[in-house]
Amino acid sequence: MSRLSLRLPVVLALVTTLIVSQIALLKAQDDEPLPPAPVELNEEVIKRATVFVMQTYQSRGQPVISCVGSGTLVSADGLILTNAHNVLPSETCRSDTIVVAITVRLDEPPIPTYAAEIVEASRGLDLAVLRITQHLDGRIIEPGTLQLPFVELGDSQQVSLDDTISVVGYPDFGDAPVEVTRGTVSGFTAEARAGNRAWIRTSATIPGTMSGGGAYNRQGRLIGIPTIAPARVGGVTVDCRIIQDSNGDGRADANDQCVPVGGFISALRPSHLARGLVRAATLGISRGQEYPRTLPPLPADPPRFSRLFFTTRINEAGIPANVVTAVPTGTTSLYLVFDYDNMVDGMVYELRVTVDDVPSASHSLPPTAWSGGERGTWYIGSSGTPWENGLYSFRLFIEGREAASQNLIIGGGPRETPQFSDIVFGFPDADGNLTGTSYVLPEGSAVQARFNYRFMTPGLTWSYIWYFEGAEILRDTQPWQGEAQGIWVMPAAGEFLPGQYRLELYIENALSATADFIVAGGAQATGPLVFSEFRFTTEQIDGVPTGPVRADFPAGIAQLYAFFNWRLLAQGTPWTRRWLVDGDILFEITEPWGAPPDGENYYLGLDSLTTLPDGTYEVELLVGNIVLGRASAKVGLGQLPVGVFASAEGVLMSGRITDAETGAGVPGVMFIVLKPEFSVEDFTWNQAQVLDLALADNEGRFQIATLLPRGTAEEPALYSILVRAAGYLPLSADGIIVTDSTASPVEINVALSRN
Amino acid sequence: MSNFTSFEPSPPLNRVQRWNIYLALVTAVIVLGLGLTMRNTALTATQPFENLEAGVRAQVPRGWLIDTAGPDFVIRAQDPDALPFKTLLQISVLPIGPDATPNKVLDLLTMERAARFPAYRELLRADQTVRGEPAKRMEYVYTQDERNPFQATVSLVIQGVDVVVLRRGQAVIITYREERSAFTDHLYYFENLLQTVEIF
Amino acid sequence: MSFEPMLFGAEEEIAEPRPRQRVWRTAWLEAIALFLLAFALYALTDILGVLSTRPASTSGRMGIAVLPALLWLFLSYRAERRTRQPRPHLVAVLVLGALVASGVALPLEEHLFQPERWLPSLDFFGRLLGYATTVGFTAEFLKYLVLRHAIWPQHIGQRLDGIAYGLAVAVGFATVLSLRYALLTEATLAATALRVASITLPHLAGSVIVGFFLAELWIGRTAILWLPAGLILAALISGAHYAFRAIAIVGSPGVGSTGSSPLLGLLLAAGFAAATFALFAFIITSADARAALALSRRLP
Repeated sequence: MSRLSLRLPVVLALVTTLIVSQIALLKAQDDEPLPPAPVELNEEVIKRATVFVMQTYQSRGQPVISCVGSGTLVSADGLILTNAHNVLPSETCRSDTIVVAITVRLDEPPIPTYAAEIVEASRGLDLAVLRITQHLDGRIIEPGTLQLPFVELGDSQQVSLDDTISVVGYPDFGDAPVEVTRGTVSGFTAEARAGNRAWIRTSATIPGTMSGGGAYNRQGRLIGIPTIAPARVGGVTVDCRIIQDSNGDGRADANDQCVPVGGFISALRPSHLARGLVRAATLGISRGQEYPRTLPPLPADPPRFSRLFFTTRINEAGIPANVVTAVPTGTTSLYLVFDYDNMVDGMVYELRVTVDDVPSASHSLPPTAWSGGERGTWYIGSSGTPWENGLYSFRLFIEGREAASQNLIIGGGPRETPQFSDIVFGFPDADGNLTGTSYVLPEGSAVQARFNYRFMTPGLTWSYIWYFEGAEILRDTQPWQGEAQGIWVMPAAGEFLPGQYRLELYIENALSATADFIVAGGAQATGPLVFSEFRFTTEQIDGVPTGPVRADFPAGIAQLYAFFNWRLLAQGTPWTRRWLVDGDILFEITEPWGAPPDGENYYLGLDSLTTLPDGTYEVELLVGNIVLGRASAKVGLGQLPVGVFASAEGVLMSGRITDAETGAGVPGVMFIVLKPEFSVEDFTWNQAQVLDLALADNEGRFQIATLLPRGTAEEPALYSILVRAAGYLPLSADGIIVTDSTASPVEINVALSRN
Repeated sequence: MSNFTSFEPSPPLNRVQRWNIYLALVTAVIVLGLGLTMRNTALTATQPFENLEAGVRAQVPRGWLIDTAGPDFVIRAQDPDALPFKTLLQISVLPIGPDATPNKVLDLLTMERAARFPAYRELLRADQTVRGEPAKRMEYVYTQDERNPFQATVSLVIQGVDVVVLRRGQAVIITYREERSAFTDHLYYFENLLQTVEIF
Repeated sequence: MSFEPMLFGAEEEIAEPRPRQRVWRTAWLEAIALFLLAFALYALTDILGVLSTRPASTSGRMGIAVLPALLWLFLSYRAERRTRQPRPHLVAVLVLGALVASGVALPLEEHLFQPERWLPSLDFFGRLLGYATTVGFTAEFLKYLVLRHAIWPQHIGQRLDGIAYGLAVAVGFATVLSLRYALLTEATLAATALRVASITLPHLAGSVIVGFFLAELWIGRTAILWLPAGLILAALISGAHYAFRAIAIVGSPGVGSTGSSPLLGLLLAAGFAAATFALFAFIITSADARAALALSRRLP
């Protein structure tokens, strides 16, 4: 009895403790706010937003398909992002009409539906934005009337190694339905101008005709554009399908136009490189008239690559910080640097890397379009991904032909070999310190180079060579007289005229460091003064502002010109001009300076389809990656209207409306979704209360074109719907819940009961 | 045994029975009259619409989806129940020059629509009056196809009518569109609108 | 003036003055058979998935549409023929009901009343009154006309005669409506059965009212507006069924719900018929008992 009396309270206490602790735990879990579940990729929307693009031309009254590719709708009114080579006419891809085929039924091939025009294209980036303008029968599509499914551009800078991606496109020349290929991000490839994320590399196997389609992150945002090199006559061998009698000889044979479809894609152009093109097209803004510049004629000499070397670091100005001939084990950053001449944007180049004679897909760059202009210094490489030990062979190809090669060994421990690195240029101040260190210097005579040195020994032979516009101007060889490690400042004698300079440093006749710099403009306290007296106007005639010159413009202007003066900028010096709206880059063009060294009223124009949207328009001018001029003007309120960039985020609502008694679809039935603030009871049949409506098709299927904005778990968006049709009893419902975790599409099947 | 063709003669009825028979007939007339009145009232029920800026006042069918925020019309009313085409009534105002005539306005409409509507064809033009004011009437047909390419919808033949009334630098265009087979049946919506529209 | 309550029960069993078929038993049987058949087809199709959800053949739908008439022939008419004194002209009344439905009611509904164009947009009472004063009243008035000119008053010997003839004309009338539906609507067997039951059962209910009021007009002592009141009551019943049905068969569409509840429509129709049958059976029984009691008091 005593044992029982003791055991019972203990058991009760234990049970009570257990229950209380469980309740407390549950309560704690309830109190702790759960992070919102990420919205998963909506495959149906993405598939429907993926289009098939065909370049066609008329031959004997018949359309002939010359080239095909994929594309992605990036706005509801029919803007398509694709590869430039898919839409720009070329020797291989003859074209007078761009036909857009869309996926009407997900399990069927695309159906040619629209004709599109090029809004913006960059041969170098191999990106283009199209606008759907016509039905195939020639009827014009009024702007804003299309309501097509579209996707939003994601932040490709946030993509990480091993992220899962879905690549969507058409795997064939239009004979197969849209396809989703899954893979992971296997790395990134760096390139000059585009930086460390010039390419996203993937493990997915992507057929060549998916080029121009889309690669999506898990949230369904477009983070890359699968890109394959444009097909070339006599270039890289591709699978070319003959599908038509294009020459009208009654036979479809080898003499007819074939459609290139071959190859596989392993590289994605990051979507951030397309953001400007898409934004400009969305805003209806295009580049307007510009100062008539003299661009050099297309090079007659064959393109070539030269002076190949490796570096493990590229600085912010895009200059290699060191030169390496061997790299220790564990390196995660390596770039191949080389000079190029006689190149043309859009040419196909390729890097093939072998490690101990085994091809390395991850370090190679598949054939892609050249984007660096005619001449300069280029680099390809990667950082943040491991480079395994081995003997590396880097072979560069231009249009399928080997152009240059270089080898490198990775392995072993850190070596203590003498080396120079991190060359910068500047002027000495009163104390003899280097100021204004950068790679763009004003005209003057006291340029100094500063560089780091390590593991040097006295007496070691070192030399330097100065170049101006590619020609050697000064050379000297000396025994090393400094410390083993430190910073060396080297004055350069002579008059530094505007132009491009290079310094090469050698140790024992081996290149150890090199850097380029540009001399432009006159000296001022903060750096070179190249561009000055910025002015904005709305009209110009022959380079003279004829409209009012001001910094604030009323809303409704159709053109905007930025004028500026310039001085001491040598012809051929690479410079970059940018147009920005509210801080977002719309256009960025880098090319050699093509005007006299000094002058006034250089102008850059912006055009619009109708009127320029309200906003702050900014022009930025760069030389050698350094911003040397910047000015802005406000139009209207000085800020882009809210919601000008339509969001593709939301929930797709679709479904089928059937007759409850026959099960057959009821065509023409109106399905109305009210704005979340209205319930069915509030609805007064005023269109202003309607979020969107859809009519059922022959099968009774409907799709609300506007994506339903999401609420949150705490404050869900509640939608009301109404369905009405003559002969049937009206239906309505409140409280269709859409939260941040609602799966899309929301499928609503309605059975209408007869009256 | 029942016979399909002949019934026995009816025995005489008393006064109450006779009056019941008569009153049943009277009731039928009254009830059906009431029912038809309800029907007509429901079918022709309207709601007022007024736009002081445009200077238009009219009665539009009740229960229709009303849009007053369009860029190219003052009001657009669509019958949400109609199948397969949503019967449309619309009033729009077009700025015109001092020398413009109703005919010229219709020419402009024709040019604009011919580029927009597939198989657009004008059927007739005639003079008419709208609440005592001279007006021009134009009938036309076109085919309407689905804008959403993802839907399989058969094109419809739409018949429309525009009535143009000129007023102090503006042309008021009153439009009715209906699927061709129902055009005449539902024309009364348009006639009602014409009878009630006030342009001031 | 004396007041004679109609709803009092009989004090004692009175022998039937005319040896005729009792009507109610077969009427209930017909209604229940129709209900069960429709429910079974619905369950086999929509719940158990045994039957196809594809539209049935025209012949199959027609078979379902004529089923109420067959049930009437098999149950009511056969039982009638077995009595010592069968009611004459029942088949003729059924055929006349069908003829007025096809010749008058349907054209009026399709070309004049067009309820589908205006009733759905009205509220509950609007629907009730709108339907009652157009389609509902027309149907009841036409059925009344058939009874009035075919068998009334010469074949009305008791109140149940009105019910029997009323049911016959209702079956004929409803069969035509059902046939029209079956011919024009490519529905499943289940949907056809549900619709046929939803057409037939309320018509049976309405005709019971018209039949009773006609019989009472001949047999009993009635007011001067007795018959109009009966017609209006029958029309209101059909209007009420129409209005309630619009509520019953329509739900809220949403994710996972189509917004259609056809079974509730069947239950509603059956409920209307059952309530009417029960009410008028009680009324007639009470009235007959009251009349018999009065008769027995007058007998020496």
